[in-house]
Amino acid sequence: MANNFQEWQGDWENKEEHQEVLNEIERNLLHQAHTLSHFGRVIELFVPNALQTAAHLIAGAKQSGPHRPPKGRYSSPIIPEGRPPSSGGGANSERLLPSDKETI
Amino acid sequence: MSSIAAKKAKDYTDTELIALYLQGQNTTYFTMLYRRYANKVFAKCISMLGDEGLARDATQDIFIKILLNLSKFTEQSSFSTWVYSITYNYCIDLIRKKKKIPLLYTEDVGRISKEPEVEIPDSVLLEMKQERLAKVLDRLPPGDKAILMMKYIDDLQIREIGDVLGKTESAIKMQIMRAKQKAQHIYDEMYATDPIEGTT
Repeated sequence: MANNFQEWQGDWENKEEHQEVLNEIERNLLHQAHTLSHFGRVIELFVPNALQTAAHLIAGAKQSGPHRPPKGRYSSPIIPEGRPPSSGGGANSERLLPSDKETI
Repeated sequence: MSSIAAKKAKDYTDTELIALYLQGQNTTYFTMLYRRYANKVFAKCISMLGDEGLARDATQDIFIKILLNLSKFTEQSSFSTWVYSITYNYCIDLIRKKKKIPLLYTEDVGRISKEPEVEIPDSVLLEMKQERLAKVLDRLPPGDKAILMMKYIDDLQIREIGDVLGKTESAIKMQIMRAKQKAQHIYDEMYATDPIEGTT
């Protein structure tokens, strides 16, 4: 059986108008919990890689994985096979100005 | 998800829900915990803070604290005691900050009188009418109020109250005794002319 303290507290617990407040708090909390969960996953995914990269930078170790040539200003462009040549190369396909037609 | 639906919220213990939430961060389990304790935490916040708006913000902050610290819950106490401990300490801190009152316990201002301290029987408080009890509690220092609520509402043992407030058992015994004396003193001041009406 509840004593007078518990009855006093029970009055606050059982107020129906508080239910909407509690539902609103629940929605806010769920939003926070989802954010935390996503943040946790992002940390899980990226922090180990970031730490590894930092360690490599500090230690000066070579990066593992396939070697890629640096893309410099003078490096040759890579043209995929089967691509038609650009139209600007040939003499016949030169674009003419209207004044050129008159000259011809 | 289907297994969650098959098993109702009441079928899980608090410890199971915590473990399940921590395993997969599935918010369904945390929602179950929230719905189990939200009413009680909110009621305690209103009782301690005396304002619904403050109580709403406090309840949200308290559950965020619980969410963030769930992995630190060690089962040394029951989950409910842990939740109430966060609740009481949060409210006491908030009152101290808002009102900037240094007074948390009766003993902070020294003894009320130099007469030898008398143990007040529980019946003195437990027989007060509910509305008068509420007024008496509102005039108590927040620490005293929290201690009496832990003892008479949550039925916490002296050792558990000590754990919640970070004090020794003997200190808690002394504070309970002084809080009861203070409550009776306030009651006598407020209802000296009509003492019988106040008891059931």
